[in-house]
Amino acid sequence: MELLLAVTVGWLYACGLYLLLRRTLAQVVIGLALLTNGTNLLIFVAAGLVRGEPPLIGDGEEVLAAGTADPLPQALILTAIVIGFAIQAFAMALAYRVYRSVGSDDIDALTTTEPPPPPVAVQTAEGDA
Amino acid sequence: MGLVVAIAAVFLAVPLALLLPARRWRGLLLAAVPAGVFAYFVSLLDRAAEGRPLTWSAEWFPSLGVELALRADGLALLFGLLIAGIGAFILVYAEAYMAGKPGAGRLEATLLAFMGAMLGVVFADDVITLFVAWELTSVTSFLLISFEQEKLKARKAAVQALLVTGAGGLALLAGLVVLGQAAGTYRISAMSAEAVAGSSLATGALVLVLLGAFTKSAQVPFHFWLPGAMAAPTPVSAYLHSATMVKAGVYLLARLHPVLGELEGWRPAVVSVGAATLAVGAFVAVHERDLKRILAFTTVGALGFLTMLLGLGTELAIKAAMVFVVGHALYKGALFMAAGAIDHGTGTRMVDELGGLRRAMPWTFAVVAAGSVGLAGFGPVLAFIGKEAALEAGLEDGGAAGGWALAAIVASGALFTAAAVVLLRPFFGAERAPGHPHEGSAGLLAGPLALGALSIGLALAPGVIEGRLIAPAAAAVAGEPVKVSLKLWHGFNTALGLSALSVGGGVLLGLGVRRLTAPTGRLMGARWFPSGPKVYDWLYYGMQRLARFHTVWVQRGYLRGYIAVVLLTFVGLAWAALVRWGGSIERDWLTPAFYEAAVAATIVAGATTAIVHMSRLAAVTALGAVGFGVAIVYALFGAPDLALTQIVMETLTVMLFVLVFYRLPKLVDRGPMRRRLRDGAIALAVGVTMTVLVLASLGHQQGQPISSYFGETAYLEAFGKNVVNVILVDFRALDTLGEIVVLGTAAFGVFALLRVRRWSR
Repeated sequence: MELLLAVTVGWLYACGLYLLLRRTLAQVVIGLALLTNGTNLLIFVAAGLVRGEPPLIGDGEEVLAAGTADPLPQALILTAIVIGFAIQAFAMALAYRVYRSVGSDDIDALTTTEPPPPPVAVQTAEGDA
Repeated sequence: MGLVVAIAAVFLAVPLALLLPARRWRGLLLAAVPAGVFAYFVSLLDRAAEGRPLTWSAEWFPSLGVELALRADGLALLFGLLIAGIGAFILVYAEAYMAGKPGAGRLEATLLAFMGAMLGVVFADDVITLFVAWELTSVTSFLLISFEQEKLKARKAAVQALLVTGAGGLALLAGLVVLGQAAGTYRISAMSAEAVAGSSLATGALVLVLLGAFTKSAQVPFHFWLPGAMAAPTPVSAYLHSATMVKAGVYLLARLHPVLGELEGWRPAVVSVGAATLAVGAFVAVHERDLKRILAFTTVGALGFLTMLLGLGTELAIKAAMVFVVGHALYKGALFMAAGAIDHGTGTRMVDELGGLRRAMPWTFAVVAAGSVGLAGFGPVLAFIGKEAALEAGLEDGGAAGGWALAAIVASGALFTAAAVVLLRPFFGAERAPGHPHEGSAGLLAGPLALGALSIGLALAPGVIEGRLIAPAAAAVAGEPVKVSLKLWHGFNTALGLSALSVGGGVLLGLGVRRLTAPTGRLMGARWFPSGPKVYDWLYYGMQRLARFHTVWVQRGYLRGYIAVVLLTFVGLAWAALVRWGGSIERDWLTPAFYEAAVAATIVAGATTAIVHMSRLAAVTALGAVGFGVAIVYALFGAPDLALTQIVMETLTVMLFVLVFYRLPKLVDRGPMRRRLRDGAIALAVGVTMTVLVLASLGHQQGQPISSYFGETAYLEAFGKNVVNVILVDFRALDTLGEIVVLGTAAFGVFALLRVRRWSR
């Protein structure tokens, strides 16, 4: 099972990074989501898999029994899931705003830090004369 | 304290030079400052000769053992007297040379700043103090070479000199720090040769310090910047690039000789570089036609001569070097100033365009005649005494180094004599010059006449300096008391014979110099000949090309380009670490149940769909499949809390995606197939690496996991049975608070981004 999940983690990374290298904004955001899941799964698998033994202290016991899953990586991942969601939400809102402001979802179109100035009537030499 | 006041006085005169009006008396007034300093140094000579030199120090970086420390021993005073004495004449000369032209004040101010820095170099007793002053001389030299900043040639020469001496300065800084580490102190006077020799850092310190000294003193192969520096106004050439700054490297060698001189590499390295510089300088000098360039190359040769003598390091060689330092500064300073006077009086410095000047410029002729005798090193001049002593040092040495030194001195003696003949040429024959030749003003002549007279006077009465000046200086270099008795006439001996031989040959060579040097001149002028400036240009422009190439290929300005570089670097480093680790992957894995395998397959299929399908609905669905699949993995392997959280967050994410994606245009995979394949390969490489890293980290624990602490105390101390929850809300409650803050910030950000109707214009 570890092998299977390790390959899954690798594949999530590969797909996420491939999307991160795209030019379309939405693809980059999807890539971010895949990377988040991949990283959480990486911590989970690397900490060691234990089937069906959650880190709960049983009734009448005072300390965690041996053989249960490691609680620390779970606490880390729990935090990471929430933060990951916050980042994705923000990235999506940002992508939407960029698209509305620039009018394109092509990252290569983002070449200026400010929107182009409104068109100004061009003065010609004839106009001056 | 007096030493600080003396150096500070020179620096304080800098604004004075800028503020005073351009009058003839300004040069005299400014010259009074170094003249006073000179007199003060003379008063210190007796203390130095008695072996109790004046010192001063103040804390600078006490924690690093770095001090502002000054010390006026014989060696420092010898150089200090040259700097202040010649400096005074130079200021008078500079005023006359500029003749009221704008910028004269700036020139004199910079000269004074340089003078202060140079005094700092020679009186410093702390290597860091020395280094700071050393760099200041490089900077002021840069400003002075580029004085005529509107000329491209001057700017280029200035940058070249700065880069060469600056690079050497970096090496020197490292060398001085290493030396301080090896010796256990940054105080030069407290360093012991035994401590340094016994340290493993000794060779490194020696190489780095020598690099610094060789670049500053224009030793082969770094000699080319000095002739280039002749783009500076003549007062600068006379002062910095013959009498003082270029001697800083020689000074450093002399200063550190007691500490480094006994090291194995010192003698071969310093003697060979010095001899090569002497030969190259003398050889190229006879090919030149510009007065200043002839003098520049003979200066290169003289610096090599001094370096070589310090490399030999015998008592006689050190004495010869100390005498020659003074002798050379006097005659070369005089010659440079005379060259400026000729330029002024005739409008050219090219010897071939000049003739018969001795009637129109008798005083200048006298100076050049005295200087040429010094250059040839044969006659009643101080340099002759130094050269005779050097020949005797070579004869006495007997070793291979001594033999090479002897050969170099004799051969270059002939070439120097030839150069002297070339210098004298413009004064003989029929009168010719581009302009109407006329003698220089008193200001132009006072300096060179005084230096030329001193050069002869001190040779006739060497007793004035031998005990008070030369002996303490030589003692400081040798590291032990030295007796010095200088005599102009030694009687007929081998040294005199060798001298006469080389000078005689030199005169013949000088008379036929044009024909004799034509073939070698053509050779050196050939396009392929790797002369110093050409190699410098290759390196200089090569570096620019490299930078441009690097910028184009690495700094492309595309986000994905940077990401790709980061990823490839990561893959490379990760594999390097894995290969070095070389451990095996443990394989006591769980056997997957069919439903577990199905969940993994779902995740993989979802991710694949997300990259392949360009439909927005498919993308969102695929993302949901991945997220919920991961949630099931959590649920199956003992993490119900994670599964719950993941399901809630994944639901929210999918809803957000649906909301936003339908306001974005349809997905298109931009870019050609070639790029997609390349990106795919990079992404796959990272994916494979991650898989291997996960497997490698399984079952390899480094140190005791801290999880057991939480398992043991969760109920007993925090009264919770769900250990994950206890960690989050109790043990690491502040982290959770931080997490909430992040979430809140993101929410505000999203709200702001969606609410803003349009960017304010």
